[in-house]
Amino acid sequence: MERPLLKAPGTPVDQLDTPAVVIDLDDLAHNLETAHAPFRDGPVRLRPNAHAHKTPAIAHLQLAVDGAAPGIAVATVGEAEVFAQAGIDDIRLTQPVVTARKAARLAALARGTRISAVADSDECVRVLSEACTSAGARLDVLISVRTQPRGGGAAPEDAAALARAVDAAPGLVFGGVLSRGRPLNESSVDAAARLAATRRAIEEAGLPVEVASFGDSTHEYEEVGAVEGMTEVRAGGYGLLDARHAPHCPALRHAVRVLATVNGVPEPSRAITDCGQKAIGRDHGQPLSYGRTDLVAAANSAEHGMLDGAGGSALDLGIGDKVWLVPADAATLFTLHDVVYAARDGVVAEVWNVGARGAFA
Amino acid sequence: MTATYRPVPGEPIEGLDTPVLLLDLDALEHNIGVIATHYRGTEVKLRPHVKNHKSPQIAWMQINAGGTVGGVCAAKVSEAEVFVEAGVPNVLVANQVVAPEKVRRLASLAKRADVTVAVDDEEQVRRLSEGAAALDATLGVVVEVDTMMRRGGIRAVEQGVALAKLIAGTPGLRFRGVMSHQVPQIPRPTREERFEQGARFMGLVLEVARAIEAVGMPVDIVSTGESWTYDVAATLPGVTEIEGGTYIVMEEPYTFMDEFRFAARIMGTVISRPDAHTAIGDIGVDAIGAPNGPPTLEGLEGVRAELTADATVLTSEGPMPLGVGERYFLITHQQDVTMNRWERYVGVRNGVVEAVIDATARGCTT
Repeated sequence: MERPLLKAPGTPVDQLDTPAVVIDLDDLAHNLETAHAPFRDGPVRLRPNAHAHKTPAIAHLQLAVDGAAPGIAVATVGEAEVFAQAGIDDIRLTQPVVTARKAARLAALARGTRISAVADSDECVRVLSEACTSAGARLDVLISVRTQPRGGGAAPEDAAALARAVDAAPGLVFGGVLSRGRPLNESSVDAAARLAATRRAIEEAGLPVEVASFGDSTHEYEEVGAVEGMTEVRAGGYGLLDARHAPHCPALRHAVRVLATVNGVPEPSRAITDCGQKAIGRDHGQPLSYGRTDLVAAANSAEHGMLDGAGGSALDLGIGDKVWLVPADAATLFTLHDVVYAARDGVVAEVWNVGARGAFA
Repeated sequence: MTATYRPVPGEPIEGLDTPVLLLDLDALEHNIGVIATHYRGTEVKLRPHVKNHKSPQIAWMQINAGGTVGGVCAAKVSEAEVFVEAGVPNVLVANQVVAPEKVRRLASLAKRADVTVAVDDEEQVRRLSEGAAALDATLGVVVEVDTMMRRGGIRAVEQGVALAKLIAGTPGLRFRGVMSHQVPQIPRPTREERFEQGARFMGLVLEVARAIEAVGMPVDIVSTGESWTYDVAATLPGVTEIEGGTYIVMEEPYTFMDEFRFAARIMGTVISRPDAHTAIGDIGVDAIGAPNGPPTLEGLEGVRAELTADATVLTSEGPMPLGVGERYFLITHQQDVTMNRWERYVGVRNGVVEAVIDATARGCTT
């Protein structure tokens, strides 16, 4: 792992060793307050998707700030393990577990943490039930319902039968329905409405459905929350606001930035920085220059970043200068870094571990 | 950091939790052997680039196999620290280092190992000298030459001569030579195109070397390349080393170098089968990285893989051949970005875990 030259709280952020990931605590607080507002008084709640940041300190802030978020969502058993160890006691695993070995890890977690999982096939139900039975655990299981063609999940018409199978399976408790995302040609509201209809159909078949959770909806969280029958909205990108989510979220601020150093200026209109793909990611596009419209940033190399003068203009940058960038995608950024800095008014306040970095399994 | 999960040697890969990065040890050894064999007795040697694997264990496999300069090449100072600590005696940081703290880290390394760094500007020379002097260390310095990338590197021969003279006259620094980096100008070049381009790009860095020699200064190091020109370099007198790394595990766009084999795969598991033509797998984009497009699904004709934040979407024209619980394998389009996301690699031979290899320099971006 990285051997960062860690700087103590009180250090001005522009003195950090680079590349450095810096989270502005005031901007983060603004984003949490803004996005949580529609959910503060219930009945619909917001469940932050912690896969987006992998950082227990951020998850704790999300849960503590105003009561709008009862727990977190994660994508992998490994992430669930890390957040459970960090004291998060309400975790929803949103991807199915289908192997006995992972189900055993999940069942072990369920003995000490309120954790829920999903199932979208009989095979899933069987694997989870066997693991929970042999571990002496009880696990809440939601039926994952397919609301978009690029996602998994059971067909809505199969959901009621699966719900009954969960309800009847030893060690499992039927916990509700969950889905992820929308088709590209549809709004999240329409996709969420199909999930709500599935919920009603299961209830009409005689089984109460406590939770209907719709996810991957950062830029329509408020509208999805207003869909009749929805109880929970899962969103990940709202807290840090990366470049790719920003156009959809005008009320939110870029709370995560990356500090880079200019290592060379080999041409009048081109500077080379220390912040390439391995430091800021390019899985979802190019980073943005933060606070300076005269610079166009790119991460075309693994180890080097580039800054070009906008419109080919000469750069007002020298060797050793620092620049701020916004990542295209925060989840990628947090997959690359072991530690991040939390700062207020340009001064380091805390150093946070990205505890679930690399917890792919 | 995390990933508490560490497979035990002797386990069959069928039982591993996924996603997991599997390193095919036969392929890895084959790739190392290609270079070692080709460079037996040549003037040019390999300087293994460790940014591609982040692992001291693999670096030592490369060095011990022969055909190398006996040292490595690193992209960042923190990466170089890992390899010096692992006993590698000679490291070239193929990058510019300018922040005072970083220069001091580099100078500190230079007291324990033969350390060289690249420059393309007088200001970098001044900063390196200050840092070396503060620790009473001597840093080797090469002049970086831009040959086609419009990245770091001088743009004109006379800049190189002037910088070489400046370095030679600067306390704490020792002028060592020149370096450059280049990639193929067109995707998947033929052998003829590859030799023509390689010779042309390396000719530019050789031209700077000759101009520096013409003013009476010795040029010990002409370091250039990447894997795609290792054989081209062997035909060019004056090139002393190739900075090669892609060959070690390979990537899909590099298959024009067909003497090398894919050594890295991400193994995933199908977790959902929502319809007859679709399977969802558990490898998300974070686990593999896709700056240059989606990865290649190995061994399944007519099935396409796309990545989402936390899953693979597999789609087929005909019936989907993969069922829930079955494994699939993805080959990366950019190997070093993939390798950099994993704390460790699971070394496999004949379907059984043989060794767990730590990527000790994972995440070293500073």
